[in-house]
Amino acid sequence: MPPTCDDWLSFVRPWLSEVLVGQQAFDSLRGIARRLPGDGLAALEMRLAPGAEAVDLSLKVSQLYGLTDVFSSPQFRQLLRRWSAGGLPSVSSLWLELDLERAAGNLPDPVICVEIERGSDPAQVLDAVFPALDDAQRALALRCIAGISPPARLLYLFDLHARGSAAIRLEILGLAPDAASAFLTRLAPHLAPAVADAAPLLAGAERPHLSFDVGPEGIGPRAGLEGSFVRWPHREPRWRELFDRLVERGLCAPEKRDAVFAWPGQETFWTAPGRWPAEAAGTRGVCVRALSHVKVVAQPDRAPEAKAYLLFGWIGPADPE
Amino acid sequence: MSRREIERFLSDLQSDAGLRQELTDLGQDREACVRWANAKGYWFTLDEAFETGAFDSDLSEDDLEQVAGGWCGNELTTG
Repeated sequence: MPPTCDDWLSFVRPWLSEVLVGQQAFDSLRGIARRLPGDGLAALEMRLAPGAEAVDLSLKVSQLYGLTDVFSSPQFRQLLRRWSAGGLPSVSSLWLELDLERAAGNLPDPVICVEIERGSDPAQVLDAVFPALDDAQRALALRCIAGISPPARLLYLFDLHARGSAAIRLEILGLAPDAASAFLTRLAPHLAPAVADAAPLLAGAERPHLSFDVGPEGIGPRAGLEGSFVRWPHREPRWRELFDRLVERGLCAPEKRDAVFAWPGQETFWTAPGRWPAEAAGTRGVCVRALSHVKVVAQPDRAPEAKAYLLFGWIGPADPE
Repeated sequence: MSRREIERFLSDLQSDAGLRQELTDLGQDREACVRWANAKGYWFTLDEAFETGAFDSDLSEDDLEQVAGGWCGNELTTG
């Protein structure tokens, strides 16, 4: 029996501070993770504000396994089958976002995040992934896509049906925060001031992302700015500077910042044989823990919200045992 | 022969929690691990264990940074 996501979540628990994930939330995460495959990467999304305890789980899908049977959403099943059968050639990967607050003891239907293959036509991908999109919504999404100037590009499309929304999310890679503000001034002026206010928090970040929702009635009231650095925190002091800015604005508890920096690392069977899920995963491969990125959610007339995304997962052996 | 012995050793480690616990108590000294395995009747040397890849080693910093960029889009950086 192959490892589950829960095998690795449980394995990495000693490095996951209670400051970030309390025991009750961890138990709920495990309830979800034990029904998901553990052959790749997963991410924990955590709110950094003092007192904010919500945690969500995302999973990168590399194979079908029994996933079509695990979730009830017919849209998701159909999409997964099409992708697995090669029917979405410009989709390089799928991430599933599982919101813990929607779980209520069951496996919530996932928000589906589609990664668009570099060099492919994003408008074609939009039509392939969302064939039944409202006409006005499609036209607006295409206008947004057409407004992206290279080298920035559309990286992800999100299906938000699982959150009860008909909107889709566009996530653009390569727009620096100030450019993101200018982009939104043209397309969603109601978001531009909030994004301009949040932008300095992510100043200098590498791999900047901008995300916003496009619904039948227009562009939604929230925008996400993301940033990260290629190098890990122990080799890249700008990670610390970014988090310090969040702390100074009251968007991140200092103890959460410190817990995030204590997270990255790697283990093999040989560094932790008593805890490694050997019966499911064998003795090969590496379990990685990484800081992926920071997201700042900007909304008009509200303080920004900061989140950190912690990756974990098993990089299996090149040649199976 | 040694490859078969190493595979037998790894297979037994996979299925036997007691064996894994004993290994935990040894710490992370690979040489001590091989001596312990030999004493248990698994016949291979430290060099053979490394040659066959039995002792998985850590990923390089560069490989780790590739993994961490899995969500972020590694091909494009600014800043």
